[in-house]
Amino acid sequence: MNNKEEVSLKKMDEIKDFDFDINVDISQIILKAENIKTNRKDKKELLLFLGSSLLIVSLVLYLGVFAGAQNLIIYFEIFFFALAPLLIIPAALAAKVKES
Amino acid sequence: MDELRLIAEAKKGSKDALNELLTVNYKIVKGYIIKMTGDPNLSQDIIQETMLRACLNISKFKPKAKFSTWLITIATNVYRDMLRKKHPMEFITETVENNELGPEKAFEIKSEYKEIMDILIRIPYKKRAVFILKHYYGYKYEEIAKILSCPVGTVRSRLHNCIEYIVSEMERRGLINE
Repeated sequence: MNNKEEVSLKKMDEIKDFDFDINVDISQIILKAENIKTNRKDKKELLLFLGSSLLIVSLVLYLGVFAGAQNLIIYFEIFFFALAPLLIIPAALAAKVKES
Repeated sequence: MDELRLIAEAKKGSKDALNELLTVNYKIVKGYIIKMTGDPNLSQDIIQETMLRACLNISKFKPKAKFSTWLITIATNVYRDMLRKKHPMEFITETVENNELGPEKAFEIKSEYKEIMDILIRIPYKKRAVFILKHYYGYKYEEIAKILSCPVGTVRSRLHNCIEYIVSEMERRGLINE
């Protein structure tokens, strides 16, 4: 390193501790990030729910109307209404326990 | 608590660990961004966005490098994104006040600070980032290459060009004797 370089770099060191009075609240940023994460998760869950519902309803409609299994809609409804509470309630409870 | 443990806790969802990690590394990110931008408002925006992105992506962080290196990588990306959106940067020497010195000496120091900061700010941002990381923070060439996603040879040549530019500007502005 030549002398000019050395002197120049030494001069550059003068701004090493240069500072501005900046206020950044890290706790607030963490809270904001938590909110964003929750919103994203809710959105994802909603899309998943809508997608799977649409898929099930379409499948039942297709089988009932086009594939000739007219009674399927009735069977599906009976099956769903009988079993849904037994499946959904424990699943929701398990999800809540896992989250907490 | 050491950094690795804090990272593991933060990944599990501990807000306290995340808070401590960010608080410990805040100063280094702040110093880097202030030197990169020379603008207090832009610095504040970039630091906030950097911290937010770090909080959102902490689960993706692999502790191969230091946490501060990861934060600096994020900050560099945020700065690059902001440069694309808005250009004007003004340099304010608000913290160069020193009451112990006489007004003349204080003015002299202030204008020299301004000149030095101006030289730094006029360097293209990729070269500036290399210089700041190497000169002020002592990062290795390999680490800088990783932060800026470029080959080590490019980092070396950018640093070389940068130093050449700084020396010539210092001479031109009369900050060093020819």
